[in-house]
Parts: sequence; C-alpha cells; structure tokens
Amino acid sequence: MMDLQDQIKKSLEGDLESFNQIILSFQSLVYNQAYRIIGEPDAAADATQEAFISAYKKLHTYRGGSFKSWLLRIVSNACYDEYRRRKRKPVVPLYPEGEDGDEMDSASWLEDPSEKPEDTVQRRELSEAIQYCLDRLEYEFRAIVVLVDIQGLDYATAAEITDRPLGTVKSRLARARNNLKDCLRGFKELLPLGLRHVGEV
Amino acid sequence: MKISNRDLIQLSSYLDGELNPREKVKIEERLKQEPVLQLALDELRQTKKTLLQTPILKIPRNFKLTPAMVGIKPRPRPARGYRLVSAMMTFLLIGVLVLDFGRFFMYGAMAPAAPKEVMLEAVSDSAVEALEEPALLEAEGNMEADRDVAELEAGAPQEEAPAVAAEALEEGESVDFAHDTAGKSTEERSTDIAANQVDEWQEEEAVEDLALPSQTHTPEIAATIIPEPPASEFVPDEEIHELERMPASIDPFRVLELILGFGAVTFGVAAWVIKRKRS
Repeated sequence: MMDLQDQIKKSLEGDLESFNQIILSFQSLVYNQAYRIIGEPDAAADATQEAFISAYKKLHTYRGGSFKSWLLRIVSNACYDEYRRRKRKPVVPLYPEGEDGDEMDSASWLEDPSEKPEDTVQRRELSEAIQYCLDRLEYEFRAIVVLVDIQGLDYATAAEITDRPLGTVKSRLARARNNLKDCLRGFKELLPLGLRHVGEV
Repeated sequence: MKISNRDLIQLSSYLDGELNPREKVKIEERLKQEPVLQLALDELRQTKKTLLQTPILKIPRNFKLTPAMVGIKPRPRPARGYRLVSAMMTFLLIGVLVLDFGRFFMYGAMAPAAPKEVMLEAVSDSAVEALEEPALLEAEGNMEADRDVAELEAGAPQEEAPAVAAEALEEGESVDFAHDTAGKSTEERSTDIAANQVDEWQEEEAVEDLALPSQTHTPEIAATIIPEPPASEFVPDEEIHELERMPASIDPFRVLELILGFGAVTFGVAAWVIKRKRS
C-alpha cells in the first residue's frame, strides 16, 4: 500500500485514483470539521466536497509539512465560503430530513450499530448540545475552538490554518471557551457526570 | 468576582501549555492565591474536556472525486462506439437478409443463381448438339454415297427439300429448347431435355424416309443415344467446376451479408473485450 507522500506524488502526476485514496483517509476528519463549523449536514457535505476538489486543484501548492494542516486550511476556507453563501440564503434544517421531508427523529447518520441504544442516545444528545453551543459563537471564534479543542491542533497550526496571528488565536479561543462554558451549563443534565462542570455534580 | 479578559486568556493558554516559562510561573503563583482564578481554570478545563468528547460523526457519503468534478475530460470510450457500429451492422444485415428473402420469394428459387444456371444450360445444349455430332460426322463420311444416291434420285429433287426443312426444324427447336428451359431447375431441365430428345428422335424417324442415307440415324447410333442419362449428366465435370469457380457468378447479396455479419460479430466481440478489461 502506498504511503501518503507517494499518493500525493501520483496525484500530482494526474492520478485521480491516488487522490481518492487520500480522500478516503481524510474525509471523516474534513467532514467533521466542516460540520462543526457550519452546523448543517448538507452544507457540511457540500463544503467537504468543495474542499477536496479545491485540494486536488491546488495540490501543487503543497510544499511538504503537515498535510492535515494544509488540508484543514482549505477546508476552513471552503467552510467560510459555504457559511457566507448560506448566510445569504438561510433556512436550512439543522437536522437531516427524511425522504418525506420531515425532520428525522433519530439521526441514523449519527448512530453506531455496535453501540447500546442508551449510549447512542447519550452520544447524540451530547453532540447536539455541543453543536447548539458552537452555533451560538461567531464564525471566527467557532473555527478556532473547533480546530484546537475538537481537532486537537496547537495554537501555531490553528493560527496558520485560519491565517490569523497567534495572539488573536489565543484571545479568541479563551473567549470562545468561556462562552461555551456558559452555554453548556444549560445542558448539564445531558452531559455525562464526568463532564459536568465543577460544583454542579 | 469576575475575572478579566487578560486573565481568561492567560488561564486558557496555561491550560494548553502555550505560556512561556515566565508567564507560567506567574500564573501558577496567582492560582495558589486566588480561588476565583482556580475555579475559572477548572471550568475551562471541564469545557475543554467536554469538547474533546465531541462524537465523531459518520460521513453521510463518500467524497471521492470523479473526472467530471475536477474538469478532466473523460477519455473517449471506444467500447461504446464499437457497440454502436455492431448494432448498426446487425440492423443492416437484417435489412439485407429481408431483401434477399424477398427477392427469393418474388423471383423464385432460381433467381439468385441464374447466371450460373444459364451457363450450365448453355453447356447442356452444346452437350445435346455434341450428342448429335457423331451422326453428323458419320454423315459427312458418307458424302460419296449420298452423291451417288442423289444422282440416282435426280428425278426426285423435291425429296431433298424436306430433309433440309427437317434440319432447320431441328435447329429451331434446339433454340426454342434453350429458351424454354431458362428459369427451370436442373432436374426439370434434365427431364425436358430427355423428353425433347425423344421428340427429336421421333421427328427424325419421320423425316428419315425423306432424308439422304447419310442423314438417317443408323440403329447403332440410336442404340447409343436412347439409354443415355439426362443431358445434364453429359456435361463434363471439369466444365461444371470451372463454371462454379467463375467470379462473375458471386451474388452481391451474399458478399454484403458476409461483410455485415463479420463486421457485427467483430465489433461486438471487441466491445465486449474492452468492457471486460475495464471491469
């Protein structure tokens, strides 16, 4: 099996199948990043697809280093474009719709068949609570907190991806966390005991 | 007591290990002295922990790219073209076959092979003539005797006229025979030829009394003629094979059918092979 650098090299030579192998490796990361920033499954899927198309076309600009960071930067740009587009034309359901157009009661796209039903419910509620709170942050704050606290990147990488100074990343992250802390407090009954804030257990 | 923005940033950075050593020492001293800061730090830590527990969503679909998505023109697919050509040739072949059968039923079974049969027929006629040749040759050989008889029968010159007329009649019938047999099958013609043969002999017997001795068939000749098989069997095999080999006798419909059939099969197989290779 080819490693990432070989796949990149072959992709640069025009081998689309090699790039599709890269996509298979990163599509979960990219989609989750897009979903947490945009907050809508359809929009996140569109942004993810656009990000991969853009990545393929701009692959020659990749100069080595962390491919994940390079890709997440493209995703962030795609998300921002999608976010602005959706802002101009809002009214999109927060949760996916079924075939009949009704909002799905149980988000099958979030379910794991190997999980116990109660665990699935708890996981879904936690995901929804976090997303609810993220959606209430300004876009710039949201993008940074997702990169650092959900994707686990360091400040420098987050600054590089968002194309912002390190100081800006620090301050926006601190404020974002503070806002999220207040928001998540409202969902304390949904959070697992270990995740409830100090003094609320 | 509310903490300042600056303290919040310091606490957040401290939580992520993003402070320089000097700032780190400073904030740690303050944390020991200020419980509010410690409480704020604990809340931020819990928030960070919660966010790290964010479930990973399943992707709704694959995001693999297609050539069309990235503006790559798909390579022309010869298999599709081959299939199209094969289908067209098959339809043409069906059309030609329908025409061919239509022609067959309209003009009869002989129609397609008419040129060859006509040639065979001509050969049959010449065979009939050749059958009569020995008698004529023999008659030529007896010219002297004829002359003597003619001199003896000089008083009755009018009797020669029926002999000439009989010859003329014979030749005329030969032409008519050739004309009549056109469009009949070989067997029919064979039967006709045999029937005509018998008729000719009867006529010759009728004329015999009027003809010169040399023009009269001798019983030996008649004996050799009567048991002979039908005229078609008199054609030498070499001549028939030569006729069959004649390029002019190839039916264009057959050629077209062969070309179309071969082309349809070839292109169909090529399309199938290409498709199989791709899959």
